[in-house]
Amino acid sequence: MVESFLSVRDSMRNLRPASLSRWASFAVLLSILSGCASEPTDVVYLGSTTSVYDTGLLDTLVAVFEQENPDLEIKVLAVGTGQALALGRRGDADLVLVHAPDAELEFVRAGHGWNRVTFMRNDFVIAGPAEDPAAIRDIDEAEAGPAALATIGSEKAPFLSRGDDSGTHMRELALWEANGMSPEPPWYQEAGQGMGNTLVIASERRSYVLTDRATLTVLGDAADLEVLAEGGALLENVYSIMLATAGRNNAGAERFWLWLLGEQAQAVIISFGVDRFGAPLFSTVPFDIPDGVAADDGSEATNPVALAWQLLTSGDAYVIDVVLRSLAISGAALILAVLIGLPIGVGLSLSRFRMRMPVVALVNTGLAFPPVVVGLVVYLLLSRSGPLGPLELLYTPAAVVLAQVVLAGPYIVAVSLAALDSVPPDVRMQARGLGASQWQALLLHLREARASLVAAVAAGFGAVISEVGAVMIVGGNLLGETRVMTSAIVLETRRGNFSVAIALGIVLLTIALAVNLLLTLLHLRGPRRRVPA
Amino acid sequence: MSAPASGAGSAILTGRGLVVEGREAPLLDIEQIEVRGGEILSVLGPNGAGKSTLLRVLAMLQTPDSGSITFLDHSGREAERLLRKHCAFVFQRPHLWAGSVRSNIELGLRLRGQASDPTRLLAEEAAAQLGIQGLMDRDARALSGGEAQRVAVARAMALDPDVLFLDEPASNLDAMARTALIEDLEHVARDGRHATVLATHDRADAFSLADRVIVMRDGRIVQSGCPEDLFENPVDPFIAAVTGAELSFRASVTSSQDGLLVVRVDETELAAAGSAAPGDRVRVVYRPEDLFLSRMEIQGSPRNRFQARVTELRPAGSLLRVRLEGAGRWVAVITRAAADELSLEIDTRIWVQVKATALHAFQA
Repeated sequence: MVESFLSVRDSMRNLRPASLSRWASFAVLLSILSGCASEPTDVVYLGSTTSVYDTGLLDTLVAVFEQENPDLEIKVLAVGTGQALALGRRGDADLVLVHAPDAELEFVRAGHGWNRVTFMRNDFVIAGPAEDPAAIRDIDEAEAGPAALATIGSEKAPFLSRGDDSGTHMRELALWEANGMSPEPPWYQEAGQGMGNTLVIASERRSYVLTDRATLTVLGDAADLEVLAEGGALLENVYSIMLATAGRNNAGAERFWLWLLGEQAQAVIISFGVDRFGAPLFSTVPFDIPDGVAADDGSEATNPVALAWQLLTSGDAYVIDVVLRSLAISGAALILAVLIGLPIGVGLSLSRFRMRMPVVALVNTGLAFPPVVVGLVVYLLLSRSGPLGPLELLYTPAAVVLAQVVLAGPYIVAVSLAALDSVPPDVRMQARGLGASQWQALLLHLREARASLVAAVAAGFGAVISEVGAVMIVGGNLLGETRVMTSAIVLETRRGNFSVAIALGIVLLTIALAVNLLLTLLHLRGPRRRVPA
Repeated sequence: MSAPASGAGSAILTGRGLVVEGREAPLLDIEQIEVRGGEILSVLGPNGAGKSTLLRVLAMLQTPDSGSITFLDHSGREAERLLRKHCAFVFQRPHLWAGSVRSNIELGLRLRGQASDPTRLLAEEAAAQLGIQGLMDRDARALSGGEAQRVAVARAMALDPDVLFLDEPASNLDAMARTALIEDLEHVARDGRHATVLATHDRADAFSLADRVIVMRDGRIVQSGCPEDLFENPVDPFIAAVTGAELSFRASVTSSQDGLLVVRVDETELAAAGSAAPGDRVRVVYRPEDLFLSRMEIQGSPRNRFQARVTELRPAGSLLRVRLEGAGRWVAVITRAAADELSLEIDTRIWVQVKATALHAFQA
């Protein structure tokens, strides 16, 4: 990177002054992109569970470390246990900080990691609405976790799972298994999101949820949930750090690993959160620092693209469900958007009123709505405390459809308006001059703009089916309800299931390609279409 | 389509008190207008006179700010419904819908819910009338201007309308296509089965085709009548100009009697039609083709006879425009052959005769 920067500087010398500034700004951009602006530092990538990162502990630890070790930069990839382990396996993370002992041991046994040390703990709790419909608050058993889940399961009370292969999710599955139960929808749902989001969704749906205590504490009033069951060995939550065999910066990774296990870091951990919450969020656990012995590299080469192709060709049930759900939700949204947007576009095109200009400008602004903001607004509308809360639509397919209608609507309005305006203005009068009724004249007008109208619909479909921000916020990514292609891709990537993500990506790309082919065809054929006699 | 019960000559479409407001002055302000069964009515006037507006209002395609339309003794919604059924409108720039020529000609019939077999037949018939049978399967968007206008007329004719509105149908065509289309229009309009309302700014079209002519200016009807009336008795210089009397000179009235004036120009006294008092200043207009030139003085019915000198000879197609001086300045139009016979050259002295009724005097 330094070399490339120097070569750019060399080539700058040969340039005339006039173009120098342009090259200089290009070089600055290049240096920002390649990280050469500051003095060269060694970078270590740390793949981490979200719970530790979300509380802020990791940032605090990294800040203290980097102050003392300015030559080493720690970049935290807060992705959840499943994906963190996958990153370590692929060598995209040098260090892994996770909390799923069984998965960790398998990771180390397979030779993907070494020097695993369990160094920190807090505990899981079962949280839920204050009204506690399954009455788990009063259970008095040593192992509160399995007992509470057993009651929830037999009562079929709503329970929201992370469903993302995170450490918390794995622990939850282990608790169900301890009861010999395998929970099923509809009372059991998967959020497919991080801990914080899952708690917010659980709060809205009045569901029970398994969470680490730290995240629940930090979230505070944002989630209207109470701790209803706690204690027992099975709710212990222990965090481990290990080095990734395939990592690229073993020396740097070992330095941070060693520091994290040292006195200074341990002091930071046990005091973290005291000032804000009155009690620490984590505590330390005794450990021995193992000798640095690398395990064999036993990783088998798997090609995720080949696996993805296999999933598609074999008709994997999960992939098919997500694809069909996507098509159904976006299709419904599109139909609604057309039913609402087309008449508005037609109305705007036909009418000339004083506020028309501002209205058209507003519609065009709608084209640039950031999907995430649309999602947020729809969320606030549908949330329990929002104006439409009583409809209880949040985290249902209807909510996703609504958000997509808001996104596609302005598109349909604006493009149909432009399409109709592109037809000569007196076309309806000419139709009437041949005996058409007002209605027939309007249809004849629409017919002249049909190519552009179909293009508008196709483009709108392409826009909503590839959107993820709003879908995640209002849909909650619930398995079998609101998990669509885009949100599934996000989740499966976080889980480390790259093959499923790629398979869905291929479907999405194919749809995008088909839509664009259709648009191109319409564009080419639009103006001088030949209709057979 | 069944012909409505209305004999030719009686009004089938009447407009009363039609006003369309404009930004400064009304675009249309007409007390009464009627279209009679089977007639050809030309609406003549310069661009912006309100011809198109009048046609649209009469066809109830545009709602006037005030006034009423009566069609076949019905008014209001019923008149509009009947007009949609029994009228057809050809626009200055006809819109041909995407598709074949056939689908365009059949469009109006299909809008009326006509069954497909008679539709096909009627479309073929209309196309034959306009000589475009060969174009039926062509893409309507790939036609020349003349062809497109023919398709538009055929599309209207296929409906066998009681009233056919033609709004400047030839104005966007080149000279040859124009002449050919006007000929066909005359053929189509003369079949007597329907009334035709033709808006045009071309007086040749207006006068050659029409049974009656309405001349418009600034949204108002200036004069209406049969072409001969307008030709012979223009009510003002504007009408005289639109009817072709584009030349004029100033004179003073010396005597006046029974609509006949004697006016003086350059010491010569001339008889002219018009009404004014002795001593008035008038403008006298005439058509250059109304001047009669001869080598010798000929005794005849024309009341005005004077000698003049040729000052300019300018060819205009097969005709020759001759500028003359004597009793004022004049312009005559004669054929080249006539010029040869008279052996006209610059400075040739020649006799000019012109009927008193060919000179129209208006108060200046």
